Amino acid sequence: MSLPPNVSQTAFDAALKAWRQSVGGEWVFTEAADVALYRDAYSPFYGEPEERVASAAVAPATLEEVQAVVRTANQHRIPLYPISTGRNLAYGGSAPVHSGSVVLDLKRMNRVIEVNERNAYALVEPGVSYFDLYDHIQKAKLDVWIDPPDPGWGSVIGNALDGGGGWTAAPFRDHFGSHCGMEVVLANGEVVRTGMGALPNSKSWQHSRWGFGPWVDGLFRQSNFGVVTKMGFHLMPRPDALMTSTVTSMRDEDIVPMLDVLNRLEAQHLVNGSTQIFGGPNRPGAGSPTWTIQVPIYGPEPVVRAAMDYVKAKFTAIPSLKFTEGELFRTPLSPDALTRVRLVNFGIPNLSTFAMLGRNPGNPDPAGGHIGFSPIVPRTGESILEFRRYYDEHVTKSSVGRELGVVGPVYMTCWERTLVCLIMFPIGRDKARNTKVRALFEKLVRVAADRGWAEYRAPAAFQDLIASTYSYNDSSLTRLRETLKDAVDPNGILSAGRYGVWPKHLRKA
Amino acid sequence: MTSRREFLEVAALSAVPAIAGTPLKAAATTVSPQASAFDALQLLLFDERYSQSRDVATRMSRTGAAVHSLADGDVTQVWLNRIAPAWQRGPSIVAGVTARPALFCLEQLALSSGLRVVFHAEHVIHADGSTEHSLLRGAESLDLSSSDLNRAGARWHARIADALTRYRPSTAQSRVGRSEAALEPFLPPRTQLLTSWIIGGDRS
Repeated sequence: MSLPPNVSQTAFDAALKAWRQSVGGEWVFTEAADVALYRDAYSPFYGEPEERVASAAVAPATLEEVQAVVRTANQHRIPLYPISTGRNLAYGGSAPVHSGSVVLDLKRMNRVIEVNERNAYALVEPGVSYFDLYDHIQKAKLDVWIDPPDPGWGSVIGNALDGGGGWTAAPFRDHFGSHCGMEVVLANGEVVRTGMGALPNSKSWQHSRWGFGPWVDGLFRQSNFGVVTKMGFHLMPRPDALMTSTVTSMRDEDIVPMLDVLNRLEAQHLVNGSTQIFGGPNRPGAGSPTWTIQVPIYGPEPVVRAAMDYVKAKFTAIPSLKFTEGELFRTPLSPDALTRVRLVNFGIPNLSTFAMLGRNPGNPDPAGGHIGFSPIVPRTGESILEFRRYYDEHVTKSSVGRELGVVGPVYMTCWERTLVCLIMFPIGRDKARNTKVRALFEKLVRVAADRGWAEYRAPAAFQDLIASTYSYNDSSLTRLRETLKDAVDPNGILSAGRYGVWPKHLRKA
Repeated sequence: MTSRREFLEVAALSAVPAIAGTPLKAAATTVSPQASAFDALQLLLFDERYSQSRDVATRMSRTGAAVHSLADGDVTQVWLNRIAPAWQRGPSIVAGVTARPALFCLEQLALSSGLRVVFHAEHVIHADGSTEHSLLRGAESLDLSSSDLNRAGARWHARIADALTRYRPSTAQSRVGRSEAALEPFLPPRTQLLTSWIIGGDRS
């Protein structure tokens, strides 16, 4: 059994004893074989001394048990690292940022507390996965959709708190943005409900997110200020139809007007699906379009068709663009349609992304296990062209004939008005290669920051580096976060170092 | 109620929906009259994109194994409709000759049912057709060695089919952790990687 950092054997033994009393001995894990299951499957330091690992794990099943575990940790100054289902692959998995922390595993808290069809919302616990919520809705025959990410086996709450996104309509595919109300256990064990939930016997916790006074929910996103034990989400009433058309161009410079048109249509809420942009250095071959944009519209069929006519008119006003109207799919999908669509676009969770990203005859040089480099850049064609130059200069050259097998860039529009230029860095069993991947990743972070771009999410190994690039006014944002951290978690027991926020006793000068 | 062991070996997915399903053997794609020979093995998954995988499925189905095709390597449907319901009822053995991601996903799911990867081999298929084999776990329980596979040459998959057919769960299954399925070995460009595997083991 290993000890958490800066914790004496006596203190740890006392904490373990208290936790066993609180949650039951069978839910406190200290044996190496058990704790190893919390390793990050895609750690960029996999198998190396610097890999971040847990020292133990404890798995409460109720709010009261979470409170008890946290109070004990606070009393004995034991660092905790809460996880939901631990599926944040490519961005850290279930391993703690501060190596040696005790994983606070919330998978047993897996109740779907409510799904309200009439007002289209859900209230869930952290252990509820997208598969679970989908299954609950299907069994109850409720006419609402969830918005699963790729893949769908993760926690609904965990994905939202990590800043994840999905593939259906806005605003639902912004998972944190579509939440409504939280229940949080603070480091001292106190329970807080946010928004309308702060009203005892509130009738509108999941109906309105703002409540009264300063809104604090954002403090719990990608953070270490509390343990979220319940969260509400607005769901999408099942749309009658989805139609996805395609706009292509053979001209490189056309990405500028293409994106301008798309942005305007999206800001007008005419294009509400997750647009995808393909092109640039990934162009598949001679004769293929230089740029391809997919334009999905969800809604009632007459509205979808009318909106698509308008969208077509706007794109085809640019003579060099080609507009291809896509098939309209009515929902619920027919069995035949189910085999022809990308399921996540229809709110159906699945695991196909692993097969797609894996090595196979059609994909001989895959990313496989990978970490995501995910800078946010302005949503303009000029930025995409600049990002492509940046990629050509720093990635293609640095990867030396694709030696590292870097895959990208993938232009993602998970959220309205936002463009993420994702690059996937393969992580494998070859430590020397992983070392090169890490060096390139770190270089890209710095070079991107020089251009005014920064990542929205990152694996634990790079969170300090990326946080350091958000350095406006002598890192005043970091200092504000540290001030808040010291106030709400003075002993620094919760998720030390997560997203670059360290407690006072672990802060570097 | 989930047991401590099932939960633990999770790290995983609480995510096994309780979808009604049929027993694996009854739902088999192919079941021969000699099915009793396969009491140990409940289902073989094969990836129809690979001739070697198809050959193993053909051989095993002839002798009574239930086999299921993965058209594109994705395990979602077979897991939801067949494997998850079976694992909710109790431990049952699933094997495969598939691409690596199928094993990775099913291992993660298996851990939450108290099951483990008890056999894992990798077959690196080079552009010239030659194949390198790495036996990573449990080969001894199948009486299988790399030299066996090398001797078999281009017909190595017949040897794998034979070994999978003979597998019987051990009553003294040692406790093992996660396999190496999450990450790939370093491979030269244009090579393919097939995995042979068995997920099984008793609940402990």
